[in-house]
Amino acid sequence: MPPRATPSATAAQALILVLGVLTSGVAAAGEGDARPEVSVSGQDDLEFRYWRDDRTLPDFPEEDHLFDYWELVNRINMKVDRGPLQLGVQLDTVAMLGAYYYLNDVRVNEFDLHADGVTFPLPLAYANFDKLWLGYQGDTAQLLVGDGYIAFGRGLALSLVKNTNIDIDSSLRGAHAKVTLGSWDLTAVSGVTNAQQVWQDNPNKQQIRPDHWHMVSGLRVDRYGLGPLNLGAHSVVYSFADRADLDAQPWEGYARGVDAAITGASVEAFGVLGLDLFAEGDLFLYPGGEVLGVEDNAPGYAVYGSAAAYPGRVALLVEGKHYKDVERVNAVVSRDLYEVAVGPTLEYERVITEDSGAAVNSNDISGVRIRADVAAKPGVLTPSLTLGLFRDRELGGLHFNRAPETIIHPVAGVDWIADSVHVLANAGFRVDQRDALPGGVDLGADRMAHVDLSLGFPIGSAHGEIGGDLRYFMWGENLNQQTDFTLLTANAAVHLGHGVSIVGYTDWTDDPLIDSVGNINENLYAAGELQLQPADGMTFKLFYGAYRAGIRCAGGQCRMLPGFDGARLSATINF
Amino acid sequence: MRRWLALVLVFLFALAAPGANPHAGEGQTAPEFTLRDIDNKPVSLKDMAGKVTLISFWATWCAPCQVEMPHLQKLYDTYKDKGFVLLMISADDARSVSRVKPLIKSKGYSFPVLLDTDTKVVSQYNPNKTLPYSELIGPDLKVLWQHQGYTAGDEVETERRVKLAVEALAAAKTVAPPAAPPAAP
Repeated sequence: MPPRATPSATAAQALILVLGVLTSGVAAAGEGDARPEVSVSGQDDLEFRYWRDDRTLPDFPEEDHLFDYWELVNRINMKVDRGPLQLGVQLDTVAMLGAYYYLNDVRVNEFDLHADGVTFPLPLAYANFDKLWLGYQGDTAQLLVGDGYIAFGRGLALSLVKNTNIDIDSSLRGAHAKVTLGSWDLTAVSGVTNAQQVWQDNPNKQQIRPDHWHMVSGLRVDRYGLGPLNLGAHSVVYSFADRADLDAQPWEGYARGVDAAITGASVEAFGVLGLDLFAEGDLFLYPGGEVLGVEDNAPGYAVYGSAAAYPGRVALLVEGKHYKDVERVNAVVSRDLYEVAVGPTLEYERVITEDSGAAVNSNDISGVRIRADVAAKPGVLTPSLTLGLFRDRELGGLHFNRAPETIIHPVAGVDWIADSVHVLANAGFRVDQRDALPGGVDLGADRMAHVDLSLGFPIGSAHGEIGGDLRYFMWGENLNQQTDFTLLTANAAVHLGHGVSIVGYTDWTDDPLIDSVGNINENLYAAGELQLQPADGMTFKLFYGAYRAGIRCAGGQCRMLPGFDGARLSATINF
Repeated sequence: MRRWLALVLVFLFALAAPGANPHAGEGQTAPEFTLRDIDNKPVSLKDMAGKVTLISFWATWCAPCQVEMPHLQKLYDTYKDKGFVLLMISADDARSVSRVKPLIKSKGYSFPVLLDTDTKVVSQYNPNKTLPYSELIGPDLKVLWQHQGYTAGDEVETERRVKLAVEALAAAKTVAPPAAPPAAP
């Protein structure tokens, strides 16, 4: 029997949509309130995604597009300010429309939206007040109860911050306090991790997962302005929830034992002998090591340092790191696609591949990155040279290689920004040279040449932009020998003025590890987008076409993102 | 298919009615913050009372931000002596914050740059973190204007807004009555 929808189900799912819209309307109405000391503001992010799926079932006409469905995702952030007090809420909503069919008069949902441990009255919808907080901002004290973001030092011991580039919005739900006493800052946090359950940019078909309440408590003391120095020290403890216990309550983390304890210190110096310096060291103890896959509860450690100098027209930055068994602390939470403690990677993250992503999250790596920028014409022309050197000793896990690697990655770049023309370009060559195995077995090297470009130029009264990157990857020897591949991503945009832009996108790749198929042919993806900004604080985008799947890294974290084939309407409205 | 199309149209209509405000954010109090600048000095928004302040969120990894920056530098140079303050707030998190000052130095920029390493402030002003993102704040610390993203030519509207606000500030100072002398002891 061909598929059909029932009015009741459609109405119920549409109700969620209307509720979301009304909420934003109520908030907007608050602007005209006669009490100026109260301020209501917010942001609404909405996406309608039409997912095309060519699969079908026997006896169903192919033209019915049985598995096609619409996905509505809405995120409302709203806050109310009154003097030093602030109340904030984030409501996330998702509804799948048309994601079912009837087989012999029995409704069949195409997938289970809710994973075990997640309940909601409607089978193909979900709504959640994902973030909620009450804050106080005084002259010497900041207090927050509810969901907040926090990082200590350079993030090695604790870094729960937004990373919207790869759709990560994990907060710490609990209490945050920061007290300033003269040149001293004392920061204390305690709570449980609160990962977003509704993906804003990615398909929620992958299921709404239950929250696993991992307990995090931390304390940091900062002493500013000790001559040219800032000093800091911190400790953080983690107690990870049993993922199999779906009935666990948030507060149970305080009764469990500590699984990981990190303590560290940092020193920062400004203008000492013309240098800006930073150094941080952290010791990672794993009393609950078995939870994190640590043999014999062996401790880990991390050291990071940076030095910047500005001789003449040159800005020189040298960064170094040595991380040993520090990624273990992310072992449990990374299954929910976020991390709680991530130090600087020193990588050129834009060109990370499925292979080199292992080095980003290595448990035994040292590295240095040297970058020099030259103000050839200050503010206009800035060429740069970067050299990354790494020694990755970890094997197994995400690593494709079976011998340690030495990584050499030079990148040359140039920024040229004139009044109406800009060129931002980088080109590099990365070599992941593997050690020879005993007996002199040569495992070769993975090599990648890459170029990326952003070009802007006037076209009459309009403005054009061309951007993209090209990578050519050559594999060394590994257990699952892959095929060399090329990867091209390009876009061209015309900005017509008055907030109207037209953008074309294309991807081409023959990477055998990419888990998606192009809409033009197997390797080629194409898409177009109309962008409208009818007023300030209001953006609409209408996208049609496809883009490829693949790994994407930002902010020290990497995610395998799925491809897309269909249509998408997105709106961002500030109110 | 028609059903879904109708739903989309209904949604767009609903969105355009109550939620679509062509003057988004105007008149609201800007959230207070205190951040350190790249030279380690604390800067609070409340200290900007009585001035016209443009807050611009950016990051070292944001290409449109780099393209917009020279225009903001020109804006800063033009109006900084007329009661205008530009606060460039880096949304680089703890992991990439070491790159902020070298980037600023390499371009020769002189505007103030603040560090929001735990993303608290950017999360308050612009929860989806789309960059660049700007808010123009008046002398009473209320939002005058918001702008998201940057495409060539946007700097014209930004300057127009700043100029209007600076001129209004100057006019207010001109007509304001002189301060009363302190009372005799």
